[in-house]
Amino acid sequence: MNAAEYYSNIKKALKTYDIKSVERICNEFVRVLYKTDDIFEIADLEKIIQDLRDNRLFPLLQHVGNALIQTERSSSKIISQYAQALIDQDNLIAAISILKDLELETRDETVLGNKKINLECKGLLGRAYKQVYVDADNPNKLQNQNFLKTAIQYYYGGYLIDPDANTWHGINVVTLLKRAKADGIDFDQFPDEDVIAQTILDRIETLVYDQQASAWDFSTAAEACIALGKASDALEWMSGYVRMPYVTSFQLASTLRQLEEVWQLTIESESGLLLLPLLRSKLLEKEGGSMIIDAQNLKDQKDASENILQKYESIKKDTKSDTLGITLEKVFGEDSFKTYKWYAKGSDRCLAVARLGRDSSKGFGTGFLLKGKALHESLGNELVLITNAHVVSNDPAEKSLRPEEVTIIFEALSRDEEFKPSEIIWSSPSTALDVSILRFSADEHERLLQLTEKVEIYPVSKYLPVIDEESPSQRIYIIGHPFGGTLQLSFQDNVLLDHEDPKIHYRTPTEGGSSGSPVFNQQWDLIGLHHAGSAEMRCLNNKPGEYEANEGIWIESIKREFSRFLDANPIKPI
Amino acid sequence: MPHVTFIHGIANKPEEKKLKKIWLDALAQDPLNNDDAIDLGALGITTSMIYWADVLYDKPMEDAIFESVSNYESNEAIISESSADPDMAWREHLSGDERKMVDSLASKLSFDVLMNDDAVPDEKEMARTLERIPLPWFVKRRLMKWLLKDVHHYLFNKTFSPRAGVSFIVQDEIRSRVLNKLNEVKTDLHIVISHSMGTVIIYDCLKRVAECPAIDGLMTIGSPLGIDEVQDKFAPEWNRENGFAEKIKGPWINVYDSFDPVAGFDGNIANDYKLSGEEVIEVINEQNWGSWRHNITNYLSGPKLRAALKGMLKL
Repeated sequence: MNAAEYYSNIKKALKTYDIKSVERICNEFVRVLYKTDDIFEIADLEKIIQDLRDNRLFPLLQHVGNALIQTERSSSKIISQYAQALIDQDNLIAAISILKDLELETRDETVLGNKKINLECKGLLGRAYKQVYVDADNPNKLQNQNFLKTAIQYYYGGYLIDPDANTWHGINVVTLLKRAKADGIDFDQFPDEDVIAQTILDRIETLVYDQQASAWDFSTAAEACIALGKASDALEWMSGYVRMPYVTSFQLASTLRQLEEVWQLTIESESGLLLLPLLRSKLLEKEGGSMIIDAQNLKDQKDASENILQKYESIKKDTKSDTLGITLEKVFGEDSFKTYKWYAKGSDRCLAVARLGRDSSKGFGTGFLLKGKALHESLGNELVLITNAHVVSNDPAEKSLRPEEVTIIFEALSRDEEFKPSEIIWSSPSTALDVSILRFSADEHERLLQLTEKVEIYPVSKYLPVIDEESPSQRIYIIGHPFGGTLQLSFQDNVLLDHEDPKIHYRTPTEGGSSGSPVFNQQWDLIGLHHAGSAEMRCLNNKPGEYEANEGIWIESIKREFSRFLDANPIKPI
Repeated sequence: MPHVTFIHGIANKPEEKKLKKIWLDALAQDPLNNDDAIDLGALGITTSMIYWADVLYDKPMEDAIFESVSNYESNEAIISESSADPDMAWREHLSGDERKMVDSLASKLSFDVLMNDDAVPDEKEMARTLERIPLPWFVKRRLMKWLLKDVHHYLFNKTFSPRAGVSFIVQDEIRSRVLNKLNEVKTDLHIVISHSMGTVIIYDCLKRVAECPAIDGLMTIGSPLGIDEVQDKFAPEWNRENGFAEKIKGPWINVYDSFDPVAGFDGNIANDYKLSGEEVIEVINEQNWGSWRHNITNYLSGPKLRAALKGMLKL
């Protein structure tokens, strides 16, 4: 196989998020690289590396990059992307070392391609030093201040080469100078950051006017507006950025990280209030978008939701944006507003998700609340908690927690309130439906009702999403506590693969601890209970073979079996 | 698991798969902010489209004309769909019942004012019609020509060649497609959603084709079934007191906008299609927006329509 064929196979596997196959192809390719002297087209090799980068497969990028560099089949572009993979995996010092060499090697502008790579090196070095500073989280230490200064120097060096073209480097100078000030550090050797911000904004407005602005220009202009304290304008620009169809989830995640980590925006600030929900919602909407939301962030966002909606409504009502000083079609419109509303609905689904553990410090699994009548009419409005039998069970064979051992916390509602179940009403072992339905004592239930007073308990979908070749792939969303830690909305690699009563197969990266998580369709209706994942899951519907997949249990199957049980063994209402 | 079969209306359309996606997207989106989107795929409801545009039109509409749900069937799309109005020479060769029906229909809908490319309607007529249907005249004229042609060719089962080397006996061909699609559905709840000319086709099949399978519910949208000239063509199987199609085993819901030029003349069809003398059709008058009130994507966004559809699908 030549490199173009490897590339085509990788691309095909990425289309269905079949990461296992991508790994297999890459491993085979790496073996060929080491064992043969086959010559491959550099352009094809660069395409493979680029695709791995665009899909954020950094360990694989590093793996393939290693082999290419070691077998002398690399280019400056491959080395710089290899360094980027190191940065994204927090191997910052190794990345800096490689980038410094590459920056030196590419200073001769007469060599074709050097100028571009050298500029990229400066940007990546700036980024690596910036990350070193942010990760250290100690601005008082002189060493860290020097890291920050070095980051600014690299960015500023890149900016000065061509301020009109290198606005990305320029805006990072602005961002880091603002951050330095916020951290009480004074760098007087650089120009005033507001002046640079205004220069960048003017330049990008010209580009927009000439219809030459790219997605990154919109994002850069948004940051310039943050620096200049123009929050509404920042929202306009950011909306223009996020709505561009070719902006990937990788780019959105980078922008979000920049705002949260470097700008330190929170929902309490005007810019944070307007920008963070927009970026988060667009990220979740994108294919391959994933996000971990800290429970406190979620709470803050929920508390501010009225305010966010009002702000968005008022901005949406303007028919044209005149605040930008240019004739720019209204960019924050219905589309962004609706995405936010969809995202807010998803965020609300987090509220009834519980962390289950022996105590409140560490989770063992996830569970969620349902109104009893959603499972059986006789339970009325009693709230019950659903989780896996391998998380909570009375059966010693399950190696799970016993109901009396469980501490339940609804992290997105209150980290301080703990609940204890009174009993398991019904359970089906992990070899069958893998479910336990827990109820609470009257006192605990009363407390639970108060805590969840304003929470919409999930609507349940009667049917599973359609799988047919003609329709676009359906997406599946899981909310859980991976590693027993913070609440995670799992939005990556979330393709529905197949279903066959009672099983649902999907490709979503869920980590240990997500067991017992609710599974939703793309309308945020409950469809199942997550319970397992495997690299060798047997295919459904008599299809031959195995594949990498996660498995959930259809809520209607649970309901059916539970109803049979309750019909034969009625229980008293609480 | 329920199944929904769509059947489209007058004029040319994008290719089948794309048209189905437009209908699905229109239901799945929430342009009116009512939080009532119906994403049929996510809800586990399978769908199919009875496609017949290729029987009467040369080739599917180009992608650029319908790049999003919001501009589908917009004035711009209608204008750019074809460089000229459809050829209406076929009207000149009509005689007998055909001429009578087409002339009567044209007259009732004020078509002849529009059909004459050079005619300018008098001010009174223009004011009345503009208020009622705020469409540019040349857009409306084009739409009415399509309507008249499609209805006539179907109801009179004309032989028609939409492109070189291909010829169809229109009603026979479309009826056969309807039966094939309906027979493919093997679910316990089967709903048909029809629009415009599609409502005429599905009614014709359910009422007048013995082999047509039964369905569990019918939704007719922006339907010309209230027009006398159309009803007359369904006789003898149809009469007012027994116009209901018994093969509809559940509800028949008719949705119309009184400013829709295709349905507006008589949107309340309950009295025309009674079941043993009883009015059983649920009629919903739901206001659309924009100048082309016959637009299916607007209809599918309406809160009353969506609530009714959820009811039919037992969601």
